[in-house]
Amino acid sequence: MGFSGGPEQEKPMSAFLELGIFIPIILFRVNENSVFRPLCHILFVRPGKTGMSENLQQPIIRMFHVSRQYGAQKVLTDITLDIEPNTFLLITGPSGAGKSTLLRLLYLAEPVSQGQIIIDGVNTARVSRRRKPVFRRIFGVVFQNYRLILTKTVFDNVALPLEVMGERPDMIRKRVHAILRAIGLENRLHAYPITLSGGEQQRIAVARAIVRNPKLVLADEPTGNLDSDSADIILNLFEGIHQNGATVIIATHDRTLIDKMGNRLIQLEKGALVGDFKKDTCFPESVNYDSESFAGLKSEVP
Amino acid sequence: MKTPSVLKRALIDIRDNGFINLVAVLTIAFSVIICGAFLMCWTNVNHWIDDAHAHVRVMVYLQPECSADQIEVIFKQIRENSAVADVRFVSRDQAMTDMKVLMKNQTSLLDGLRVNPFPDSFEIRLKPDINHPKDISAFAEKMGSISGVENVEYGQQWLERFAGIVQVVQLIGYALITLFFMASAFIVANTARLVFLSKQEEIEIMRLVGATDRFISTPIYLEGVIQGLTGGLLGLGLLFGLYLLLASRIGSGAIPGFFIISFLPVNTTLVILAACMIAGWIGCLIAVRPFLRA
Repeated sequence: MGFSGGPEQEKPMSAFLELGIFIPIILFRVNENSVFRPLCHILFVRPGKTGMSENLQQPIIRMFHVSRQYGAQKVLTDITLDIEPNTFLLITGPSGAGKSTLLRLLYLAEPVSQGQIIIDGVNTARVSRRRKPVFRRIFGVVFQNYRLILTKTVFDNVALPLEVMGERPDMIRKRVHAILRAIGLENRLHAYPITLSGGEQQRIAVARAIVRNPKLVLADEPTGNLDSDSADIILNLFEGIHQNGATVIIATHDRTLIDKMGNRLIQLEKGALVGDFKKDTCFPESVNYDSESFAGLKSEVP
Repeated sequence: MKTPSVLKRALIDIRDNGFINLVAVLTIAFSVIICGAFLMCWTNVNHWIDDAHAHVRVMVYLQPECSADQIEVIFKQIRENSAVADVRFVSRDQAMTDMKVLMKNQTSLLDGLRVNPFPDSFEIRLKPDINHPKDISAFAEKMGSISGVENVEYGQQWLERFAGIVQVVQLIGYALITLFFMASAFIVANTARLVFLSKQEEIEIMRLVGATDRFISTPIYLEGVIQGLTGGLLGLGLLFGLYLLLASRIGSGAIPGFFIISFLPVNTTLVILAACMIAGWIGCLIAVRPFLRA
């Protein structure tokens, strides 16, 4: 995208591109003031969606110089990032790099210390405490430690995101059965999470995250500690929901997952964004936590 | 949010936190018994006072040496008084017979008497509009001045004194009801707080998957209302049992029919149930608000 000062801006532009991209870029800057937002939407977002230009598509997530610190300790530093709709983004980096914190900022579990995050056109700093849960319905989140409700059955855990939205019981039943069938756990419908294996619990957590077909799926180490069969089932679920148009963001240091999945990868180190890579087919094997090893990939980080 | 699902969640919470819910229900029931018993006494006493006010009866006792002619004259004087609704002569023998009927199980006490101690008397019922203590007092004074009249009794004096005491007791009762109402709300609040604390992780997860404050708190409020209703019904049930026990004892007591006690009127029981449910709801409101603000 041109916003980050990438190579596209240096190319010679035709008059069409000047009109089609440049003006929207200017107006996107105005966009955050919200007064011109509806106008921008009508003028520029819609043509993009009709296929005039893929570049006109508004990022679903925009992060501007985002920092997060606990007291004096900086966990994330000056992250600026645009994520297009239907991206399959992998966030990688060593432990303590800020991957989980980045996800927590996205699903509003924590406030940003500096900067702004715009999700689906909404400045998250302006979402009131009361409106936060409703805003979170845009997401499906797979938490690092599954965070299943131990006093509820598998069915109730998976049904929860639909129940909070006030869906009809018959619809909830149908959806939950379908998703549990897809992950091979339909026979554990009335089991309590404590009786399930780690892999099964993880699958339930994924099922809960995607049961309402969210626009955005966030997952924190979804394949950590899983055997390859369980991991495959989970990755297939993510792939499926991505194919359906959702944006998927996964924080991971699972090499297998990085190899198999995703069309974009960012690398964090000590809270800073040190690499931003796109791939057409798959990431080269050189990808690991050492930023020097990403040399073969096209980085967009200035 | 569908109502049955909210009710289901509230009932599951009650089941999962059985002991603390039981404590809350028993506290409410205990409060209802105390307050209900007080209300029952108060209602009955008020009923007796109202009854006494509505049927003012004045007894005019005659001197023992009154002749039949004199009695006739006194009778005429009483009947001509405009305040009198009805007058009945009660001879000393009649008075003795009435007393024997009243004390049907203890007539032996009267059998031992060699002389009939009761004087001849007139039982006077006043007109309904003559119920002010001053009017009654003036009437009694007038009756007392009639020649041949020994004594006049009308019971209003002790009734007025008693009504004064009832008013004080009534104030104490209000304070007691308020106290127990607050205690019930406090206990329910603590119960709700414990439930909330035990479910903090669950509530956090619910929020993360999009549950609003309303979705989270509605079952807790409902739980408080159910606690209040259950405690209220239990308390009223136990109070009714106590009432039946008391009523049967009084019925077979020294002077049957002298004391008639009745249970709380339907309106009052409904008010008590409503108050219990409100106490439960307020308790939850107090407990839940700080958690939701956090």
